[in-house]
Amino acid sequence: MSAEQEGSGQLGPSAAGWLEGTAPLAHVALSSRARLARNIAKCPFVPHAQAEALDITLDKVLKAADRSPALVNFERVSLDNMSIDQRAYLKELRLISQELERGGHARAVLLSSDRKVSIMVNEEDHLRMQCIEPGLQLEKAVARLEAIEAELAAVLPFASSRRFGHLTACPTNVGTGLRASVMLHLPAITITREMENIMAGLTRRGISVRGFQGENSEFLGDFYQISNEVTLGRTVETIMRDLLGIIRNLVEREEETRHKLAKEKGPIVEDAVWRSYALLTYARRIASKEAMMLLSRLRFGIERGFFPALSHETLNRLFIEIQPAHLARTTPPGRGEDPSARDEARALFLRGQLANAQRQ
Amino acid sequence: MKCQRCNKADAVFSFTMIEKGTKDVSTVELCHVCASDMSPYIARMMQRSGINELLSELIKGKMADEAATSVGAEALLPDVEPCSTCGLKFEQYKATLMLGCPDCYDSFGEHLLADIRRMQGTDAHLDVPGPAVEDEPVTTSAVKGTPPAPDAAMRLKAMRAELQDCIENEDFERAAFLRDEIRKLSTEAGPK
Repeated sequence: MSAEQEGSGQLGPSAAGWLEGTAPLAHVALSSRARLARNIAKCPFVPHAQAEALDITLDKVLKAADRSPALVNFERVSLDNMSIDQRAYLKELRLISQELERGGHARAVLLSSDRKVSIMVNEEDHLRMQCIEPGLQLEKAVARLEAIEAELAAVLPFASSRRFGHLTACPTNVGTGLRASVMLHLPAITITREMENIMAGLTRRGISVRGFQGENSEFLGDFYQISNEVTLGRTVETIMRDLLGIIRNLVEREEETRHKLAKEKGPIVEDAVWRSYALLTYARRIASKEAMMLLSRLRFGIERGFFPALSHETLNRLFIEIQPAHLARTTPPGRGEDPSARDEARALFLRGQLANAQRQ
Repeated sequence: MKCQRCNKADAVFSFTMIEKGTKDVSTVELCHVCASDMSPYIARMMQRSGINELLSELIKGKMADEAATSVGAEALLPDVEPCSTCGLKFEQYKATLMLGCPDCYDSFGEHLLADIRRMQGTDAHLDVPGPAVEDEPVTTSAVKGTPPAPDAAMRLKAMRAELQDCIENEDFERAAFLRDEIRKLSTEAGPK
């Protein structure tokens, strides 16, 4: 990318656009994300492409963005010009994927000014367009993304066929190229183990369930990322309708189980909440896995009115802000690399955020 | 039994290697981590599905042939021409599950379709024509030499199979939804 095409790479004081604002169903839904995969016609796909080919596709995307009113003011960031911390910061905010965080030839990301839309260039596909909204707002995310896709499609020919729809590097994305997902916080149905049974049924219905950081096995902080697996042979509307039906079901079950736990196991839940609060407000050192678990317990406390100064939205922010690159932005330089220094910084941060949670 | 490579985790995969020429058979039992190391195919599928889905696919026998192909047994791979546009060999696709260019979808034909069916539950997109690429001749059959796939019929078949599953699993809400969709699709498509 030429100097005038690049942004400053500074990202301003915060890139956390989507964490701000009202979040519908914030007590159960952290975020909603829609992603569209597109490739430029007649160009080799990224995974087996030569460096020169990737330069060409990046150039085509940037020129198309210049001609597109929706994109011309997006900030353009070349991955090569970002420090490891900056890349990790964007990944923690889900604005770039783990794959793009690794860097590589001719990789860039275009970011909207409100930091809700990110367009990754030369990730697994030439274009991975993404929109994140707080809470449960999947339709809004999809609508915004489709509008941007339509603008780009007018100036950039996408690779597609009648038989397979939009063509992607990996056949798991072919067709609509849509991955729609919602990050749900389900501590109650995790505790009662209902979620274990539900997960098996979901896979049979073409829905995938992943953890907070996209992992398969662990579900840190009782978070579950629910997304569609199938992208072919369905319309965007059908995929969305099916997914939202399942999400609403999960939300209902979680809410019912929270009530049930409060009614039938009130004292036990209360004790768990206050023990978590005690650790979070007094520990001097805390690893992220433990912090996620303790913060998860606070959810019940907020619902019971124990923490008037702590909202569901604020709790949701904390899950993001305790991650390493976020902490590094406030930790003094030079100490960020040492894991125990990070654990101290995390504990300090949490004490500061939660000390006054009980005040009116 | 324990994984024969790391000797720590329990073995969940069994790789059978058949020597080209001598046809000597040797078997190795691996845990899912070691299996991912030995087979990029399994590593890729592990990334995209949880261990439970992976195991259930294996039990259904769908992946047994693919797992065998990536453990150095090139003789077992079908004889597929490389993509005429980008030159990607079928083995390269199989090793990474990544295609080389848009034309690979046509070039690899039925062998790719088998993978697509397994990943997506179908091998074609919708009835409505997708956006045509500039200057490309529009073909009704993406795979040379085979008749165009009746998309609606394939979807009906998939939906009926799923409906059966839902009834067995007492997922009546989903079953009702499918029943309505099947009804809609059947009336649009005419008598079958």
